[in-house]
Amino acid sequence: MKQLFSNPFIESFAHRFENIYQSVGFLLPEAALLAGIVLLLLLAISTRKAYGLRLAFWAVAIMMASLFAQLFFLVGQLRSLPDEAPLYLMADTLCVFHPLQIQARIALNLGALLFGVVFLFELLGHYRKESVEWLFWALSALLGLDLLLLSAHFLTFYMSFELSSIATYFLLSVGRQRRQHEALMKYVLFGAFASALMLYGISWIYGLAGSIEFTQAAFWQHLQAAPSLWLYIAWALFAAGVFFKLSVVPFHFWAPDAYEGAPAMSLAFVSAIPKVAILAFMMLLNSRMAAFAALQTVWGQLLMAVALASLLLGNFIALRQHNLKRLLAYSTIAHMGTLLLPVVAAGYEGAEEVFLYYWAVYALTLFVAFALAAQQQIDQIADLRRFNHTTGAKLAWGVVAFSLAGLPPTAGFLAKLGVFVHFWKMAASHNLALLLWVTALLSTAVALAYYIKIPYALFFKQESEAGAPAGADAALLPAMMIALLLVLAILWGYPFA
Amino acid sequence: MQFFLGIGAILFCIGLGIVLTKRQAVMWLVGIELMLNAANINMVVFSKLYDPTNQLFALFVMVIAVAEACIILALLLMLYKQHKHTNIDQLNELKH
Repeated sequence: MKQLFSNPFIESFAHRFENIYQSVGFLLPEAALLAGIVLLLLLAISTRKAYGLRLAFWAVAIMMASLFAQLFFLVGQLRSLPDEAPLYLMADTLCVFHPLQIQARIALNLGALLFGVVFLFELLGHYRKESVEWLFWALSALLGLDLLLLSAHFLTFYMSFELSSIATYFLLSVGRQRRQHEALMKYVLFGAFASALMLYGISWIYGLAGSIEFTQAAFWQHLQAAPSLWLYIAWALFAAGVFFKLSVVPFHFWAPDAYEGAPAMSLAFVSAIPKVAILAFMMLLNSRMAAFAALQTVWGQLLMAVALASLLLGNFIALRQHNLKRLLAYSTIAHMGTLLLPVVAAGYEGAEEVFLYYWAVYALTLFVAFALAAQQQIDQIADLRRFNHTTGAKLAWGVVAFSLAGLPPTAGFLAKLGVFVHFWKMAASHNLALLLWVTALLSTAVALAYYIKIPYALFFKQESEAGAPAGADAALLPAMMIALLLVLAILWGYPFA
Repeated sequence: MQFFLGIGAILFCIGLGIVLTKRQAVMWLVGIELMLNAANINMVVFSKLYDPTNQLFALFVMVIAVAEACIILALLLMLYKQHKHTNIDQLNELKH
């Protein structure tokens, strides 16, 4: 007892409290998000009626308010950072600031805002029953990803990783149809398995490095001194969890089933939003490793092998798909392979812009695709041929296909070009990177073969049977506008230096 | 120390083996829990070596493991009500 109240103990406690108090200022964006989550929860438990128009209206209002507040604080943080590129500003040892990380958080926020707008449209038209639940889980996932980007310690990393995973499990469970359970079961079991592998990897990294604060130089120095076999095993296990979230090759099994079974809007959220956070986190990790050549080689080789495998498998299996959602799942796997290129070459100048641009184009295109598919209730590619479509929907499908394939009149072309031009800087001096570059280029050509099925079915093979489902969906108007934007983006020219 | 690391490794391998060979969803849960516990043992052992405060990690992992088990069990219950079994291999309504 005496020891407990001794001076040093109280002093250390006071010191910690002071630290926490000072750090709170840096966490204002997360505080805004958390306030939104708590308010949504209070709203849900304080109203007697589970569903209702007024409830949904308040929920969307709360979500938008907290997202705008977060955006305001994030922009403030971005402005207060000086311009020199690789800069780390520590709020505490538990979190860390870097321009890329703040940009990625803004990207997350804007992505969620897009879904908020869709819900607003939905409210103005007709309303869906699960809105409040959906918004709550979406905000929770966003908070988890936000904290994941901030983390500088494996404990905070693991906690925020799990927060976002658990929130996405629930996000995919909204709706509760028969086929959905199977998709969800596979997703959740694989997710838990991958995170268990990752945790064991983290425990070994702790053992090898003697610390779990991965922003400290001492951590990387100790890790570099470790025996290389153990290092490979530990990093590979750690990477399992990360790769699961990205749905790249050794951990891609869940993607096609989950895509087929889950509701479209949740899927658009889950397949686009978490990826920017995870990839930006990997880029930051890569740039911290930059001073330690041996470690970077291990990590770089691992990433390149995975990117290679995802590009090949994603593109070639997609050739055989007849189901539209499965096709999109495999195309996601291939796109993640391409997105790994700027992550691998993070040390070369301009990686951040290329990466964020590519991700934004990919996410928006996917959003349009899912909005269109949900609105017309299209499952198979053959459905595209069978149903009647308005000219606007046909053109939007065309934009989706062209943008995913990376063909000229769309932003997808600029994004692909940017990635290839940027990665050439690394490929010019590195054998494995050159192989990867060539594979990526060739697999883009392969990808044309299956993306072209979509416009082909729409424009040349129309059977135009009657009985087209004509349920107006709220996501349609934003989707059309985004499709237009994807085409107009080409007017700005090549956006990279 | 090596003894406990060995126990951790054995637990991990058993968990991994269960996940890779068993087709019952409940057995997957068992395997995953074993793997998480293996990581916990490692964490505690290494914390004793480097920094005792990092034992906190194990506590957090336990809480998260419970949350995950809750979700998986709830899902299993729903799945069992529909299909009257929880064999992963026989869940193939979604086409491959």
